[in-house]
Amino acid sequence: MRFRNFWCGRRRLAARLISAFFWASFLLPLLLAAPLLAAGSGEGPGPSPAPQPSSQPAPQPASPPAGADLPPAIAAIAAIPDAAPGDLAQGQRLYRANCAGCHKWHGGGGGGYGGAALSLRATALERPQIIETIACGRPGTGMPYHLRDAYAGAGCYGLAEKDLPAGMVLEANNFLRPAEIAAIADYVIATIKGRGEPTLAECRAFFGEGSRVCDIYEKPQ
Amino acid sequence: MKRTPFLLTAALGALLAAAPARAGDVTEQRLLNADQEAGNWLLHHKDYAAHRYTTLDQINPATLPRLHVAWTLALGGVEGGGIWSHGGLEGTPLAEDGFLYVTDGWGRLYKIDAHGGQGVLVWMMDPKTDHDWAGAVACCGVDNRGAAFWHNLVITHTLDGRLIATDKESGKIVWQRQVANPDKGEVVTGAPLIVHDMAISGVAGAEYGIRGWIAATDLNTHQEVWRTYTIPAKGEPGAETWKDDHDAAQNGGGSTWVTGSYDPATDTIVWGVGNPGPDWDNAYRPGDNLYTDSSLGLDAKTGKIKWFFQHTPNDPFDYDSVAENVLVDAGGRHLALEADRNGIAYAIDRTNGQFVWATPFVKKLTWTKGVDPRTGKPVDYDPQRDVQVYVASVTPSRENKVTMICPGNMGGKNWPPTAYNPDLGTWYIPVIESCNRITVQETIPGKSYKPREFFTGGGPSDPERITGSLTAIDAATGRITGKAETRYPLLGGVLATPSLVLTGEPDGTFHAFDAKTLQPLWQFPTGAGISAPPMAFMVDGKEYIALLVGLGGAWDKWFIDATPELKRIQPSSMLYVFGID
Repeated sequence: MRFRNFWCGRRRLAARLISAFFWASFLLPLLLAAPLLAAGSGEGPGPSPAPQPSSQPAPQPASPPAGADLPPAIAAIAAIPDAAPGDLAQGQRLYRANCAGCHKWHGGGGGGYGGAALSLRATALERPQIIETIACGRPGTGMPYHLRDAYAGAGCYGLAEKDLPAGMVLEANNFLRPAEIAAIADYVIATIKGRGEPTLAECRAFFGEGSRVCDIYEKPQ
Repeated sequence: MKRTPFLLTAALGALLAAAPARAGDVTEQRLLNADQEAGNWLLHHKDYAAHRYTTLDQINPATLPRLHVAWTLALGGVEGGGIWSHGGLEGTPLAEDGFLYVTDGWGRLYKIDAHGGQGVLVWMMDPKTDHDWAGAVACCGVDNRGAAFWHNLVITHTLDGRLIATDKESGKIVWQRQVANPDKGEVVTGAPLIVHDMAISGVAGAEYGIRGWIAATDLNTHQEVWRTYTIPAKGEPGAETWKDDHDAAQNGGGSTWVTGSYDPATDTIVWGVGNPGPDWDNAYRPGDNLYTDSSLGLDAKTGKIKWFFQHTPNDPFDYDSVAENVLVDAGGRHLALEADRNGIAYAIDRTNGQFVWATPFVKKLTWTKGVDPRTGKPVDYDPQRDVQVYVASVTPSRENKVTMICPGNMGGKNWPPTAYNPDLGTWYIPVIESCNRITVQETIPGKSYKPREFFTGGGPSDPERITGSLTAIDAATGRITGKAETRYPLLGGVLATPSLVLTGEPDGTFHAFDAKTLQPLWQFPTGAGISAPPMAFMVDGKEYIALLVGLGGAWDKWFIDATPELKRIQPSSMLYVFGID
């Protein structure tokens, strides 16, 4: 079985070559209507200059009203009540299986050999937009969509996959149910978003006590 | 003390001297003559010269129509860890007296009884590799390329940096020691090389800012004998080729993750060195960056560098020289052949590192206009410059931040091993015919390096289709004598027989080509990703070809866009053994 991180760093040929044109012709009007779609994560809608270091903070635009302009399917997920404080185990398990391959356990993302996964620590997105990004992915980038019917009709961003150039939207290897998407968003907001450099306590919370992954956070290198 | 009659002692002594070493005791003498044990495969590359050539010839063009799968055995190690969703198989099986010894990507070691026309698992040694600790800093897959023999022990590495000795009969771990440190981004994927009574280990991690090394462990005392860093310390020869003011050498890369070769005549270990780090921002590390992208000749007893030959100084492409050096006597010279990631095949004199010949072996090569026939350096190399630009319109740099390079950064030729037919004097290279796009990101001194985080100065992407070829070169002249094109890049490596060349494609197709003409003669669809080289062995008087099949390496994570059809290939872990009906 392949997990989400299979997609990490994928910069599809078709997507890269035509995405600038595509976005200009189809999506700019949408973007004008929903500016946070692109701005919040710090990556423009066109071809990104590949790897972004995790240390580079994303731009921090003012947050618009949560939930504005979401398609109904996404708004329904956003309406799922927040996870109770301390009830993040499900979100952590799902994050580990579906997100950590590219965004890393600490959410810092980063460049490197493959990917340009954005920093979730530096993200300015609010809960509805995080849910939308997980559900819909980010067309033209390596971020795949995790909601089965995201592009079955005029769902995410008003687009249908059948009308899009091949490779424009990437399908995740595992689809997630609405409650699972909400659980991941709650986990990201509670434990990752807004944090600075990863800490020993965060590492142990993710991997458990005694994992050697956390050795490097025990003492300054 | 009772005295043994003299005559009896003498008779026993004569008997012992005449008898071959007992089965299962792999002595130094046997390793030195590994090429003459036709039915066995005692060293990672078959022999110390890394020929990967079997003299077995039951499987030949006349019998190929009757070559079929004799048996298969499912192995483990497909589980993920760290940043990897799955493990894979890149190993070369070892064979001794009808038993195979193979490893999976997480370093489990399997002993398989191949007698009687079937494969029976005798034991499995599980080193319980720390999946997250190691898998999070393995740049290019969950891989282990195989085992080594020393007397009654089987010697292996693990991704989390251990050297392990396992009893050949019981499968129990006898001792182990930590040779590499994943806290620093170091992991180990190569098979050990046994020289004298030492295990030689190489390290991976140039994408994580390591300072590379080659280390020797005494197998009797379990202590380290020597460790030679591939990046010189301050004051050592070569340190002057790191001209920055921010100690770039400390994270200079130069990993050594492919098993080298050994020349007993001069007691020299020949080993390839990987790329400098950060991979694509060469302005961060002005100077030639020795000994990255070099072939090294090391004194086996001390590890001292006797000679070196550098292929791509101040490399801005990720064109490492980690590949195996094939030791060949041809044209009246003692050569070491290396098919470099930069798309050029080199022959150097293995007694002194002097350049002999160079031949581009890829169809498209854009980063240099050629090789200086006198020095072996790229003709665009300028010794007066600290930061090389080669063909400036192509070369990644802070001024040329997005650029297509040919070959792409995977090569050329990557780790999959070549093979050499000494009767024909022909050397076979598994080629990645490629270009890809490099995007440069400036590395900031004091800021960009973080332990266990990527340190690459940019990244590759793959907007163009990548294919492959099997390319044949005459060792004496360096002339290309044949090229069999393949639909996919060759990511598994080559076996040569007296009449055939065998290799697999990552879509699962296993091929046999004619050794002289490279005509495709036979193929079999294994139905899974081939990322390992075939080998040959004999049991019950019959020749078999063994091949590990299971999507290994980095291709499906970092390079799949260049071969979209391969997205359907699923992780798997299977040993295939082929024989004549």
